[in-house]
Amino acid sequence: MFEAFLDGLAGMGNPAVIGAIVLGTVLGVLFGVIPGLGSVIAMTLILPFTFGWDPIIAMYVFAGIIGTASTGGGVPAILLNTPGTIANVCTTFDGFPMTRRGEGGRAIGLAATASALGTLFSIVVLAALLPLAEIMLRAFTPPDFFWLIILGLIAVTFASRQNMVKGLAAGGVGILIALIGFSPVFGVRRYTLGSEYLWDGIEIVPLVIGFFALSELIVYTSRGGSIARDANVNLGGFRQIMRGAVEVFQYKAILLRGSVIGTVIGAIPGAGGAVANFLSYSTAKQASKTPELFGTGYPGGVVASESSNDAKDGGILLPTLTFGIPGNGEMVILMGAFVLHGIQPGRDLLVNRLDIVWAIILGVIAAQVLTTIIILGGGAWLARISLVPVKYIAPFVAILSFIGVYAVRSNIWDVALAVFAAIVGFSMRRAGFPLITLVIGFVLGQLAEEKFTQSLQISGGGYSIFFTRPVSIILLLGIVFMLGWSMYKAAKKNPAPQRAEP
Amino acid sequence: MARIGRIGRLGRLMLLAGALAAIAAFGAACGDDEPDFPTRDVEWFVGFAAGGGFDTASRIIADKMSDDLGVNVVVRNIEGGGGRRAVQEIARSDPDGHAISIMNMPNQITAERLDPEDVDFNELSWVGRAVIQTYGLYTASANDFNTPEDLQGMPDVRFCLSGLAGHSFLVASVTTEVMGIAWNPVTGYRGQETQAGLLRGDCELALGPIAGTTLTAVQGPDFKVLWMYSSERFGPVPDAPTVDELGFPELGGSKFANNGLVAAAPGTPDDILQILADAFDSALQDADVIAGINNAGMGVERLTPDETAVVVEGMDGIVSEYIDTVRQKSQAQ
Repeated sequence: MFEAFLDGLAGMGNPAVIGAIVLGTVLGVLFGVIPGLGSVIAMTLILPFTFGWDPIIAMYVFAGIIGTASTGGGVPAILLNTPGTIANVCTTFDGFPMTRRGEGGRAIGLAATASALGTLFSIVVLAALLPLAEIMLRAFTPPDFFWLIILGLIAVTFASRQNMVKGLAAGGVGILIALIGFSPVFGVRRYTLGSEYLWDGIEIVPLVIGFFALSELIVYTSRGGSIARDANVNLGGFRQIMRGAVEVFQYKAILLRGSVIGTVIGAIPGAGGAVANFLSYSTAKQASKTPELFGTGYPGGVVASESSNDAKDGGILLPTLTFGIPGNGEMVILMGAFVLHGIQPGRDLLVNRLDIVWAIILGVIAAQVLTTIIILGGGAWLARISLVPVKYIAPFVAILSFIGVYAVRSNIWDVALAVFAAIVGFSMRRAGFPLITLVIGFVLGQLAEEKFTQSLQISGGGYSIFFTRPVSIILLLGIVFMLGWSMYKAAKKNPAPQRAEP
Repeated sequence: MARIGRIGRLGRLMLLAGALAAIAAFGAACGDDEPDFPTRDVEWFVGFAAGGGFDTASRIIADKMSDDLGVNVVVRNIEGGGGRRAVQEIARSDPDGHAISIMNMPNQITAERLDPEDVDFNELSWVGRAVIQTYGLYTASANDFNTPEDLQGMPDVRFCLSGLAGHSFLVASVTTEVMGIAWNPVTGYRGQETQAGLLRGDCELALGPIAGTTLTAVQGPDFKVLWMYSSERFGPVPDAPTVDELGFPELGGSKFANNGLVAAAPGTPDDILQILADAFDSALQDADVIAGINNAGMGVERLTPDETAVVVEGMDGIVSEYIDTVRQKSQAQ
């Protein structure tokens, strides 16, 4: 294995390999930056062109895209409140408020470095765990996943500690929205009101773009000026970017937790980068001594989000490379590329084609390093967007958002949904309801229902399945501890009034 | 006699004139009947996302058909309802041949029976069969059961399935009834999660088209195919027995295969349908088209429009026969 690694490392000097990495990186960043697109579309478009290429070169291109799309997606999330990919949603919570304070460059520095470190962490874990992949895959069953989601949903309540009732209400609405559409599990349509459009439920991309990008558009066009509230603010240029890059290390615990969550969630087929992103952000807030700072432009929030969405890259490769089980859309396309190039994924890959395995691993690392250099280098220039008057920015963001929303399914009703979500999002902001908890409820709610049903079907209707597996018990104890600790802290902060002496 | 002869000449002249007029009229009539088709681009609906198996096959065939028809055959993805939105779109299109749709059958018939939307598949104007994916039943290699007899001896075999309304659920219901296997579905397993579910032991069995990533998986060491729903051995997995070999010919043939059938709107005129069918069939005989479809893990078994309509009728019969079993099992959940 080590020999194959050294061969792969030596092969990286090949101009064709360098070209492939650069091509993959450029495609990944480009498709990551444009809202709604992302790595799957980039990989689908480039796949047919790789036919006839050397398989190693083709894998470097795919690795480049995999390693960079969500890093690129962090930039519009920070500067325009428009997440480039769904896995960048939580970056908007603190990244955009930083931009409004004139600290967009600092946030970009934080995001790029956290992304790079998250990716490197997960790739090292991937390389180390390749021989243990089977244990990892078997360890996480539907009841364990259910408890993990419950942990996330409980964290939602703490994510809105300032106004728990409004936060819970928004989270509940998110869960209800998740129920809309045809339920393949039960074979029935729910809340579709006879509409064909609602058959498949509410599409997450228009919902999120409407809530965060377009509703913000309404806010800042009505206010005028520039995104950075003080147009005379000193952006600090490259120095501010580097300040952010170095500052990441002040948030070691958040960085490590985000990287672990991203890697573990990534390794679970079907879980997805959005779940990793929300869980990392929620748990970071829950564990923080200053949770009230989250959502106000807190650097730790950016680190929690960006470390997790990039750390999922290593995790997600684990079941794909070891078993040929694709964990998400990116991996389905990668499997298609394997087949196109005559490569058999799974154990055969680990025994006979280690050159391919290392091409992907080294490709992801190289592309991530390259992306970080590009973003850190160009960040100061990009951050100037926050000083441009919004009357020039707004049409650009709107067009970009609508193109992204429409591109996903070529459905004009998705654009209408984004507009509707923008109006609802704007109204909720005005009324003090947190959009964050609604989206978390939406993403995690449908997964919770599915895993709960699956668990009962596996056990034949017995509820003991939720309390007998080791991972479930550990998660359950975590939930009890989280609830207990919060109650203890609340009691300590607001001691019960002493009964007056008679 | 002379009179008769004169009349006869006159009659012959009149006959000749009449014949010429008839020929002229026939020619004119033929000219009028020549369908003015296609007059614009033909839309090809796909009920699934771009990049999937049916989408890939559609784009390959549509590209070749464009050369024959002299207009663009444009693939349009109308996702939703597991392919049902595209079915509805073609069912209410104008019957002028400028819209056709590929649909996964008999899955769509099952879905329509369980949740009616007033689509009569026997009324659609069938063009032919684009692709066929043979179904197979597979499990994790670590499991020690291999035959229907082994499964009959187990208390409750669990199947990892996508849901209670799909074709896989129907095939599982029929298989277990015919073979006498006690079973339960575990639902919510989309393509990529099914194999993880098998390895974890969430379920013992899974079934579906042995194509694409599933084919890749079952060709590896972690999974094994117990049998194929066909009457002849399946080339890519030659060691797997067929249901015919196992003594269940009623499950064989291609009746449980996933068929990508192509239809035009109900009431499409025969001559227009024939032009479409000719271009479609010609495309399916092209070596590059066949290679492209095979590379995507699917097979080509051509059918004429009439043969396709008969196949659909047969599928309708099978679904009718077993829909109550499916419904009961579904409601029991």
